[in-house]
Amino acid sequence: MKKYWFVTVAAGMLLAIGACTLISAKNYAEDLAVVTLTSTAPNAIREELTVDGEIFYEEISEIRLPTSCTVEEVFAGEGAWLEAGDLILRLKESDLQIAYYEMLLQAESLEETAEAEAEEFRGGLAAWQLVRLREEMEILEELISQEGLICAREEAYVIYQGCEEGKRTDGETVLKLGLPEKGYRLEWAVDMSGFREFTSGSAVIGKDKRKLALGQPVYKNGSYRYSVRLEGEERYAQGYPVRIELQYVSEEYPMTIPSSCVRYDGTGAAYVYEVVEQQRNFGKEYVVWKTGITIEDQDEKKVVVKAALTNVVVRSSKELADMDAVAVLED
Amino acid sequence: MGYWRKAKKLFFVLPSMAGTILFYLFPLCYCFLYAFSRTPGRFTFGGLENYNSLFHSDSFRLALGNTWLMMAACVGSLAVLSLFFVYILDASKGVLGVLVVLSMPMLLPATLITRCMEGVELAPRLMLLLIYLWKYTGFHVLLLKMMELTMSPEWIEAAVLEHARKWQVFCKIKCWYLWPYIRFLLIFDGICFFRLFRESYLLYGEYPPDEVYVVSNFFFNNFQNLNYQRLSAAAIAALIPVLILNGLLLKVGRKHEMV
Amino acid sequence: MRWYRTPRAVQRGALILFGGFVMAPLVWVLLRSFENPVPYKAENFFMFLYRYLSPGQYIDVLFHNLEYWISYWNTLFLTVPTLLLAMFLVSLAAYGLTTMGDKAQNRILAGYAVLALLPMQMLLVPQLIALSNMHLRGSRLAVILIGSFTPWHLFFLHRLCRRVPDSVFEMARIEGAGELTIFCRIALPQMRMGLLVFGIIVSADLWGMVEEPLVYIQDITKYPLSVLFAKARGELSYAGAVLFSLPVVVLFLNGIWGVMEKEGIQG
Repeated sequence: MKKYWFVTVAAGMLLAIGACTLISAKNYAEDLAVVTLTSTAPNAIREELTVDGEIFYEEISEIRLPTSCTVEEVFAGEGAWLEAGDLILRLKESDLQIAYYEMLLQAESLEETAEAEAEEFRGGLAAWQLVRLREEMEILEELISQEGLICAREEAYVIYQGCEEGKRTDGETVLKLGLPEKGYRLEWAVDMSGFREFTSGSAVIGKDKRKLALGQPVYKNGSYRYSVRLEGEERYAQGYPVRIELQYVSEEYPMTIPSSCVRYDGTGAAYVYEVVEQQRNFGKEYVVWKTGITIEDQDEKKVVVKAALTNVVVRSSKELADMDAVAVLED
Repeated sequence: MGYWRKAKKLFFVLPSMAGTILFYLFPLCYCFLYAFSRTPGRFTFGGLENYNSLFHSDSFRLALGNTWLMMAACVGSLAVLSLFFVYILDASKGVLGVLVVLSMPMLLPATLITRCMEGVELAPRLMLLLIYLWKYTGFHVLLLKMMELTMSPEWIEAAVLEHARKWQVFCKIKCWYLWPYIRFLLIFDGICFFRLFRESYLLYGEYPPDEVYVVSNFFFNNFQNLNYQRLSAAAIAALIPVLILNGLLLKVGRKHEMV
Repeated sequence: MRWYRTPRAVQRGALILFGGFVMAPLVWVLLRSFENPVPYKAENFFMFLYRYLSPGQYIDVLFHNLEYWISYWNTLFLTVPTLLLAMFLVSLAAYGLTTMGDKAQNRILAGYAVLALLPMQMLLVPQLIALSNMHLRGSRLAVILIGSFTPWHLFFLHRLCRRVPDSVFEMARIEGAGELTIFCRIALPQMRMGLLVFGIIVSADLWGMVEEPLVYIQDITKYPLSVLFAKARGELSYAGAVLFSLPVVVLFLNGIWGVMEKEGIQG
């Protein structure tokens, strides 16, 4: 028995070492937090905003443009809000002058006709036409004196813009300006923080949920105002509720990660856990590294980051700390 | 017949010898060769260039000086201390039992002692000397005491009859009898001294304080810097004193030796 | 004979002083190994006990440190084959030496002594080149071979086993026994005690090896525990150090008592 004492001790020690190794291996695996990973991917930021607005009745002032002149420049498109004195259009001055002289000649001939009519006690049509012509000539005179520029006289917004740059106007061309406090208007107040310029949106009106396209918004007195063409929609009276749905889609950012990856420390600084491989004596081990990030932009689901991140922890079965070993779930 | 027998005897030594030649003697010869080379990979004769740069290097001179100083201090104090204990202690069973336990540090891994020395603030040289003594004194005393047991008691009895004093008995008889073992232990101490590198490495890392920067560190660091030919030159420079010392040790007392 | 002995009190005093010097660090490590790894404030007696007498470190090392145990196996994989190979080679060689003439024996031993006295770090480069040429670099075999051919082994064992008289072998030879039979039947049993001491000392030496694996293996998955301690300086617990030393201590106490008993009977 004594002879095998040494062997017994050695075997016992080996067994103990083996048992400890197995238990340690089991505990090692059990102590690990299980994580799922993702990497940065190109994506765009999307945001949707739904607000309730109201329709306001609004008076429309119509500017009739003199016939036959080229529109050189359009300063305010449909939906633009204007202050008094803001530019709307520029018409070609030479066209205006030609038109004026044409009218002048026409007026002379009309005067003659009118005199003849007066002498002959016929109708009075020419006189009436002359009055109209004079009115138009007054407008033209004013336009010429302003070098062809049309301005807003008071606060207004463009409801209908009939002009196109480079095209000639005809008798039907009009510019409809909505006057605030007097016409239709969609209006709502928006919290300024987190507001972004929504690239597209629509107003949903009525029970049939008709969608109307919205133009560019104008910020005024703490609220954003959209104008919407409500031609033939007069049945929607003042105070009629409107739901406004706005979408924002950014350009495509090269590096975005899901928002669930991002954690915030006590100071509010954002960080993520990145998983790196580490060579240990029992083989490869995955370890999390705390990596600080700067958030460029974000929506509900995604965060835009500057640096390329690979193997970012999305979910973890346990609270993580820097340099913790983890087990990684296969995709 | 004679040759065959010799060859058969050699057969026993051969495996060990072949390995030693392959792994130790051949590398040593390689060192000899490359000490004169200018480049590490292929041999290009560079004369004494390496030695020149070596002896102008402060770190090598520091290492060499430290090595001899510390080796002398360690081996000397160990020898004195163990002979002192051999002189004082009886060779009784109880004492031997205690000595067995006290010789244990020699076997303990370097990690254990360095682990407990980490917090201790001591001059590095003193620290290594203490570790050295701590490790080897017990074993030395034990070995010498055990060897003393094999000495025939008649010699001492005869000396006692001659009214010899204790120290006379010790110097003239015991030390004389034990000389081969003491010599063996001195060589062993030298080996152990270079093994002290482990503790030094564990305590101070790759770049120890200047006081304990010995040739082992020099070799190890130069190895890590891949400075092969300089290393070879340093090896040769360190080998010559070792050879001389070893020769002296083997010569001294050879004629008195009886075992 | 009585006057020849040193007074008991002096002997005891010397032994106690020496013993204190040797044992103090060990006791210190042992005590520290029972410290709780979590530094609780010791407000009352029970908290004090909880702080300074807890198995926490041991539980951590024993059951929650896979790295430690893998390194432990690595240590075993390096130490055991090296030890066995070294014992085999050295016992053969030691016997071979004793059968040679005194002169040849001394010369060979002197050569071994010279090689043994060289600082091991000196030969790192050429050894590494030799190993590379044998395509052994990075494998455990490199450390095993280098370790088992260490020159001081033969030198050491030869000194430990010197007392076998030549006449015994001569007698056997005259009886017509072959060399191998003599080696197995006579020399090995004679060398047993020496081999045991040799085995203990060499295994202890191998157990703590740092620089050889660090240089020859250069692969973290194969590093032994001592290298782990060297790399994680001051990070591994006292309990880890104690557990690492345990096999050596057990082996030592186990073996040395055997030797002592034998020697005691002989003496």
